[in-house]
Amino acid sequence: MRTRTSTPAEQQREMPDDVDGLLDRAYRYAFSLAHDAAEAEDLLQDACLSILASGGSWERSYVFATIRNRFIDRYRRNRKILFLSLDRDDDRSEEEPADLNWEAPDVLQNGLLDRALGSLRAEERETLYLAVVEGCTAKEIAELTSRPRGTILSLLYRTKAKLRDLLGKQQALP
Amino acid sequence: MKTKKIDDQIREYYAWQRPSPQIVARVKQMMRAGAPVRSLRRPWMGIAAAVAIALTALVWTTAHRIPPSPQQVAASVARQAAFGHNEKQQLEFRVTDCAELQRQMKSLDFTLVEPAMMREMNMRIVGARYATLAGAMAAQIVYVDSHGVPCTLYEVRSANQLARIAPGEHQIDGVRVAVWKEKGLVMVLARPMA
Repeated sequence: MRTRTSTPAEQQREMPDDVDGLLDRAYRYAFSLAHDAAEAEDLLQDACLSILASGGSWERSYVFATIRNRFIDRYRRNRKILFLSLDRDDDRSEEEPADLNWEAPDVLQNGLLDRALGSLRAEERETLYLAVVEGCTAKEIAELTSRPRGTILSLLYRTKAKLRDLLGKQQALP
Repeated sequence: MKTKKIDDQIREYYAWQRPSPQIVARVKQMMRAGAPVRSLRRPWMGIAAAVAIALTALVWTTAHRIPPSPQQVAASVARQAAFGHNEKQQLEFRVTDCAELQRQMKSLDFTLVEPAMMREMNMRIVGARYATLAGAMAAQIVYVDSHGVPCTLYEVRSANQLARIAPGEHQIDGVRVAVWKEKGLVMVLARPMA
């Protein structure tokens, strides 16, 4: 949420020490949304330009929110359906079933995981990335994506189940 | 068969995803130009990290990726160009000719060229912005025709996978996209379908 503009002195103070680390994480988040290297780089560049123009912060949450806004803006213009309502699933149990982090054969080989992730919707990849890679809690993801916490838990559960199903089908192929 | 937790494999997958050194350098340059960045305490660590990233990217690419065909590269580039044209993003530079644009777009790693086709079609340059095309730094230039209809031209170095791009025409989301090479650059022109 962009609520105020920082002064140049504040901007200098807020610049990250680890610029490379921030750019890596920002790029990966963009990649989780777009699932395309070139589009992720474009999103990263646009978001950084937008932050510089607005005098925004270089905190991770702000950078991620800016990338998300840029992603929604550009795909809305292209009339793509990105995020579907999952509010009806809010009653999902908050207990994570034990098999959501299952033991799997090496799915990095032969692009199995890449293809399975590419078959997920953007919101599913995003939630999976934030939870598994960034280690965000459901509450943190809910704040970033402006969704109820219960919806996030439900989405994460269904995404893991879908991913397992997709990987299973791909591994069964000759 | 050796197995691993799926979460560990997802983390490993995303750990391999890194922005190209070119885009990192460009964003850093924008940061320095837009607001002063504190210098790194150990600049050699940045250089070492960049070299490590480049090497791991090379190893990963060699081991896991089948290079896309010239037609696949062209289709991907055309899709990006059509998106970019429909987006109508804000221009960073407002200019009236190509030479002026070249002077302003200092970060480009190539020299801009005004395609012969644009002159023949009496297209007038309006402005431009930095963009990326197939992961390479590109100039996204907006022209208008004599009726004021905008079209979007991308210029990018003909290097890496773009060097093998297949020339041709594509129709995507109501946009006609032409791909060709001219004077060592890849040109991608997106314009509304008549």
